[in-house]
Amino acid sequence: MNDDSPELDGDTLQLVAYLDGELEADERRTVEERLGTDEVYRLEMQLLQGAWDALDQLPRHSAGENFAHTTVAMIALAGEQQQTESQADAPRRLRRQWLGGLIGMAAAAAIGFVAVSWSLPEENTQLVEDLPVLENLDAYQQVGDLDFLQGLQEAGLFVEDEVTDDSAT
Amino acid sequence: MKTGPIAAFFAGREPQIGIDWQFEGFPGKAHTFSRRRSALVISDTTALRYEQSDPDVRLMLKVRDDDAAAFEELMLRYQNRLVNILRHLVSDGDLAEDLGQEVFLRVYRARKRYVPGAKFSTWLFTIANNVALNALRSKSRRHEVNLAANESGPMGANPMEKMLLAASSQMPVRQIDKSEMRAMVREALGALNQRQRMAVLLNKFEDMSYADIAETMELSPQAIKSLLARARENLKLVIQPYLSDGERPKVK
Repeated sequence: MNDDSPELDGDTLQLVAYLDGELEADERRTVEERLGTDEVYRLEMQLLQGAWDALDQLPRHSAGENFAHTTVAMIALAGEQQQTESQADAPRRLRRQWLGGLIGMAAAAAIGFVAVSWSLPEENTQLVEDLPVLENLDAYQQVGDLDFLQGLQEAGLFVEDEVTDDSAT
Repeated sequence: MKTGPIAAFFAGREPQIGIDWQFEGFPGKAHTFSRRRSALVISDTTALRYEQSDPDVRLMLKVRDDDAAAFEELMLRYQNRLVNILRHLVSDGDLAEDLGQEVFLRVYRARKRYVPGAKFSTWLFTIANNVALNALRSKSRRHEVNLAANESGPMGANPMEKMLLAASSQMPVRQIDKSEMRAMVREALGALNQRQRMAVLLNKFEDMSYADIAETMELSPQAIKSLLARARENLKLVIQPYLSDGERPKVK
């Protein structure tokens, strides 16, 4: 028989739980009241209990004399095998750790390089920006007055020379 | 706490602290020993409650700290109870001892992850139930035991039906003696399916409550209530005729 057999009788469910001391107080009282008045119910309880008590006939087995000793030996052996496997794996793990460390360091260096490069101004950039001034530095020094130059620019007197193939050469 | 050969054995061979014990096969509460429980988080309050109320939990916590004498003590306390349950489950003495050792091996391997979320006995018998179940399934696959689809016991398909038929038959009867009675009870228990048998054994021999059995077998308390009621009904139907008449029908 399995757990999918036809529905259990509600009385059986209740009586077994009662015999196992698993009923709440009010349920227990209900069962006990019924046991006092219902003979069939009472007989069913006795039959269930009788079969349960018959299980006391079952032998009580014990572990063998060497059980504890062989169990400990088995555990110790399992531990040694574990340790051997761990030690065999150690060089591989160590290589993985070194490789991981190197990769980490390289990645950190690369990130640092990029960060520093981005944050610091490039020297040449400044020079490129100042090139137009440098090309005409002699002329600007002869004027000697920055405000005067700005005034000339605002008056539209500084015109970009058109670059032609002839002028470029 | 008494010491003995086991502690002495370990004295000459220090437990290797720091080795990462691989916990195999038994997902559970250490917390790796059941698929269901692996997601549970045991609160400090719960752990403390079990630590304070259960002396075996305190021993296991010492085992967690690599106390060999504590492990020896736990083994001595539980080995007979464990082998008894397993013996009635698998009906094979040698196999029961092998399975008992497997249970203790798993307990030892799980020690570093142990957190008390239940009584120690509940945890131990949960492991035992799992180990026994796996063993019975392996036997079934090797066709050494003819298990029906409903996971009947080692007596073959529909043993309960056979016993019920014998008990209710009108075959000629004879008086039975105590040893036959014992054999009959053993057969009646063996005729239950594996789950019913486990629930009965835990209830009868370990005096476990429905809640503890439920936790051990990973079922609800209501399911255990039904399981035990059905098991006891089956036992009653088989055993009762022998009790009332003291006579044994011939079993076909």
